[in-house]
Order: sequence, then C-alpha cells, then structure tokens
Amino acid sequence: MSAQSTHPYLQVTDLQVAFPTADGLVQAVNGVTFSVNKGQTLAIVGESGCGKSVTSLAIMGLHNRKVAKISGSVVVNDAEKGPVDIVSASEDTVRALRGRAISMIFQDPMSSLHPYYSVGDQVAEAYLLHHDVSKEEAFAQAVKALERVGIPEAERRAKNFPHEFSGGMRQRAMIAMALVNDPVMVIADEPTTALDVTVQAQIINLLRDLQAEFGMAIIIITHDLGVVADIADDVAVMYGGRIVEQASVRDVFYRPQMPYTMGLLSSVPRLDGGRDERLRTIPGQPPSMINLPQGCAFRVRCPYVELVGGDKCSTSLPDLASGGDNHLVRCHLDTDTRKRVSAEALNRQGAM
Amino acid sequence: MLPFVLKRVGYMFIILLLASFAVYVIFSLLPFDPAALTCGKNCTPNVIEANRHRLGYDQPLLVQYWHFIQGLWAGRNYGEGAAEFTCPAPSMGYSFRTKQCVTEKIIGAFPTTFGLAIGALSIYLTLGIALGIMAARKKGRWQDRGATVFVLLATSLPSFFVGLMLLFTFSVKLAWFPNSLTDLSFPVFYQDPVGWIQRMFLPWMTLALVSAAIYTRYSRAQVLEIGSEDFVRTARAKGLPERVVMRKHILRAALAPLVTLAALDFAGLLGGAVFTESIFGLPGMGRMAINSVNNIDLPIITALTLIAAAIVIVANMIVDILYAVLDPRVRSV
Repeated sequence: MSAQSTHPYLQVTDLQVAFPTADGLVQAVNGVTFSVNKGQTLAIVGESGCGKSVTSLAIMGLHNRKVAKISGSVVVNDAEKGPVDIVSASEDTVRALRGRAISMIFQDPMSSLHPYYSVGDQVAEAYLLHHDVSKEEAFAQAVKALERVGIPEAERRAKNFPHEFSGGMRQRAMIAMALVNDPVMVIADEPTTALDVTVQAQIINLLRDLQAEFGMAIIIITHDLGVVADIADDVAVMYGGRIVEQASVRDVFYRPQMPYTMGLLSSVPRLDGGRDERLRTIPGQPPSMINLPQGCAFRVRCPYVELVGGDKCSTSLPDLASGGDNHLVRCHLDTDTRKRVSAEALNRQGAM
Repeated sequence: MLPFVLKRVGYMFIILLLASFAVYVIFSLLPFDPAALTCGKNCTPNVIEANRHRLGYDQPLLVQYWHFIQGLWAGRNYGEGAAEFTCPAPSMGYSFRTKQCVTEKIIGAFPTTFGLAIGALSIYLTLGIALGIMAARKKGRWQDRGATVFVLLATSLPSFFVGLMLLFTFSVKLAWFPNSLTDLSFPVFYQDPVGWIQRMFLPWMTLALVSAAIYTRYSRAQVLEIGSEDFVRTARAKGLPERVVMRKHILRAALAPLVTLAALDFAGLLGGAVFTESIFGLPGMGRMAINSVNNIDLPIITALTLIAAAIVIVANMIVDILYAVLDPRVRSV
C-alpha cells in the first residue's frame, strides 16, 4: 500500500486542454491535478461545461490531437509498460492501454453502441483486440462479461442488437464492454444521466459491487450528488476548468469549504422540505470558457466576495490550498470564515 | 427476414399493376388516333378501320388494358387468317411503325443500355466514394478543397455538355476513341469486347462524372457525420486502430444509405440515358425512346415508360431488402 501511495495508479498533473475555435481559444481544462489509486473511487463533480468530460477524454487520450491543445501530464502506472504519459506517448502506446488498462463507460448508452453489430460482437471485439484468441473464444468471454453485469440469458441476448435492449440493459452492456478486459481503472462519464431513476440505482450498485469484486479504480464524472454519496471515496469539484475543492466524500458533504460546493449542496432538493419551499439555485451562469476572466472564476456568483474584502477575488486566482486534512480548497476566504459560512449554509438547508 | 421479403414482393406487384394501368390510361388519352398512325400517307378510312380492329384499338379501354396484361404472359395474336401474326410472350404490343413486336425491339436495345448503366455505375461509385472518404479524412486540407472544386464543377455541367465536349476532344480531335459521328457500326460485346469498351468508355465517363461528384459530396458528409457519433468514440475507447474504426465502424454505417441512392440511380440509368445514348449513337433504350417519340410510335413509348417505372419499383424493393440486410434495426419493423 505504501508503494501505491507514493506511486498512484493514475497521476494527472497540471492538465490543460484547449480548443481553438472561430470565437477564440476555449480553455476547457486549466491546470487540473489529481491522483487515483487502485480500488479507489474519485468523483469529479460540476455543472455542464466545467471541463469534467474533457478531463476524462484526456485521460483516455481520446481527444483529436490535431485539434485539441493539451499540456501537462497524465501518467498511468501500467503493470506491463511501466509509467506511460498519455499526453506525450505515441498513439500506438496509448491505444494499447485503452480498453485494456483503462476503459470508459459513456453517458448515453442509446447512442454509444453501434446499431449494426450485435451486443455480443461489440463486447467480443474489445476482448479480441487485446487478447490473442479465436473469435469464438472472444464471444464466449463476452457472454461471460454480460452475465457478470447481470444480463439474464446472456448467451441468447448476446446475439441481440442494441435496439433490442432497454436503456438500462444497454448501459449494462457498455459496462460489460468496459470490464471484459479486467481493466485497472474505469472512467464512467455520467453513466446514469440518460437512465430512469430506478435503473440509475441498479447501475451504481452494479459498479460498486464490481469494484468490490475486482478492485479496479473508478473515476466517476457526474453532476448527480446522490451518485457521489453512493459510490465515491474522494470528490473533486470542478468549476471553470479548474478543481475548486477536493476532499473525501464526507468532508465535501458535511464540511464543504468552497462557496460553490456549498451552493451545489444546498441546491439538492430535500424530501423533508416544506411543500412551498422553492428549489434553491446558484444565481448567475457558469463562466464562458473563452477568455476566462482574471481572478476567481466563481466570484460573480459568490455571495461571500465582500467577506474577502478589497478586489482580491477579481484580481488574483486563489491557489488550491489546504483547508485541513487532505482537504484542498481554492478560495480567498480564510479557513475560519469558510467553516462559519459553511455551517450557516448547511443549517439553512437543514441538517445534512 | 422471409416474411419481410414476401411482404415487399407482394407490395411490388400491386404497385406495378397500378403503375402500368396509369401509364396505359395516360397514353390512351393522348390526342392521337393510334389506328390513323399505322398507315401514313396512303391511309383510307377503310384501312384505318381495318387496322384499328386488327390491333384491338376498337375495344373499350379496360379490355385493351386486359389484353395488354394478358399478352405479357400469354403472348398476343393480331389479325385473322392469312394476315395473322403473333407476338410471343411476354408481348408488350406491336410497333406498327417499325413492323416489329415491341418486346423484340426492347430486347435488342437492352444489353447496350445495361452495359452503359453498369459501367457508369462502377466508375462513379468507386471514384465518388473514394474521393468522398479522402475528403472527409483530410477535412479542410488541400485534398478536401480539391474534391469540393471537383464536386462544384461536375455538378454544374449538364451531361449533354460534358458528352459533347468529351466526344469533340477525345474522338474528333485526338481520335483516341472511335468517332460515333462517322463510324455508325456498333460492336457486340461478346464478339468484340475491346471495340465495345472503346465505344462505351466516353459514354461511361459522361454519365460517371456528374454522378461521381454527387457521391463524393454525399459520402464525405456521411463519413463526417457518422465519425462524430458516440458509437465511434466507443470504438476508439476500446483501443481499436483508426484504420479499423474507419472501415468497420464508420464506413459500415456511413455507406449503407448510399445503397439506396446507388440502386435508384442504377434504375434510372436502366430506363435509358437519353442524352448520352443520343450523343454517342448507342443503340440503347434511351435513343429508342427519342426515335419513338419522333415517330409517335405509341406502343414503344408506352412499353418503355412501363419498363422504366417497373425498374424503379423493382429497384426500390431490392433497396428495401438490402437495407434490412445492412441495418438490423429495419429488420424488426
């Protein structure tokens, strides 16, 4: 374990991803640093457009290199190849890791499966690519993987096409495809967003069970805080292409220190709220990723700018600094004030 | 799959019957007396009436239509006694202008039109799709721009202009190909394949140029559109090499709709490429149509129209079945 803590399985350092567009450079991810160990689950949380999906695609090396400008490093400590930096490694090297060591579950299972090939064939294709076996053997492995994710009559269903599957079953098939090569890490990009609420719970439970059984690392990208509470060990909250708060799931939920996180938590509707109670929102819009303003990206929506005083929030970008044990916060408020406003905000919402 | 095919074939026959009836009725309504057209200058009322009876034009329209349909599978007899003659099944009528059974004439013209159609189709499909894929892969680069210029030029030029320019340049001026203006003989494919290909090459290019441009544009758009689909990202996430992603995941989905386009285009060409056949003097169905219109040879015009309609209907059915083979989602509908 100590070896792992010095060499995490995935180490992302100062990752920057930008896309040149006609309107200017879109700085989608702006200096993101985090690490994930085997068996651990990191949730990356944030609003649409905060850079979480772009981050996950960069870890997979799936950005078009001709279009995206990527810097920083994404080092994967692969058992076979040693440390590989996805950002600078050759396409062939990255491809050998993709689908074998790191695999990905996408948001929309309706459109993420190829409509022309049977589900079994698509799962088998992933296995065949990374194993020197016959097609029949690969298909048998695919059936096994489909069984593992709880698809009934997997043998028969494997011959079905995606349109013959329900949404939940398709997402199970996607998970089977991601797990068929026993990857060390799985990135799940909003795996439940397109599904019914009841099916969402099944999929999250499935991921958790599979993790308990096979011990893979999971990065789950989501804006659903319920999912985070269910499955994550650590949480990274992203805003405007940067991580603004990073801590254990308990700390983020019970002792949030960044005003944006507090806003996210108090906008979760509560079952025991009064029937006339309005849903809380964070006023304002997320920032445009073109020509991000100086200073803290959240300041225009932040209710506590006055408490900082001066024009510090609009002139200088706060560092991602320690706010306690393994708790990183990007905010100019001093630690005591943060803890005070956090307690107030959560009390207003009712005890979490 | 089999019930699907049977259903489509059933529909096809109903549509064919309706289409043939419509064509037959429309041509009967034309302001020509078909009997009066049979004898030209030395017509007398007696001869006209005799011919009218001989060819069955004195019968009510529905009966005429029934005889026409019956002739398709039973053949047809015209006249009585010594003057009696037969057009064997499948009879599509008798051309009083050329004194030949229509079926016989069409069978004579069909191989040329078929050869023209299949050659042109092979050229423009290959060229168009290859250019389209290249343009999509090199989007925004010079290869893409070049393809765009080609598409613009080729789609702007009508086939009769392209045909005349090719004929003038390569046959008349450079004499690389036989000059169809002076050399009126037309070789038969199985007797002189080289001569046949030489005669066919310029007509093929004439038809292929315009269509290749259309296929270039369409396949480029398709490859780009399918390339941004989620399931293509899934394929890349598996670790598939780009070559396999392109061939197995993008092209398979991108080119399936092209089958529809290609089959219908082919059907259109089989009906006779009127301009191209006329320019290059090819004895096919297109030129036959022009000649028949000039001679007001109604039975042939009717038959050619019906054949063109039938080919389109059959092609549509084949497309439906092919599509079901290619796209599993269609099968279960």
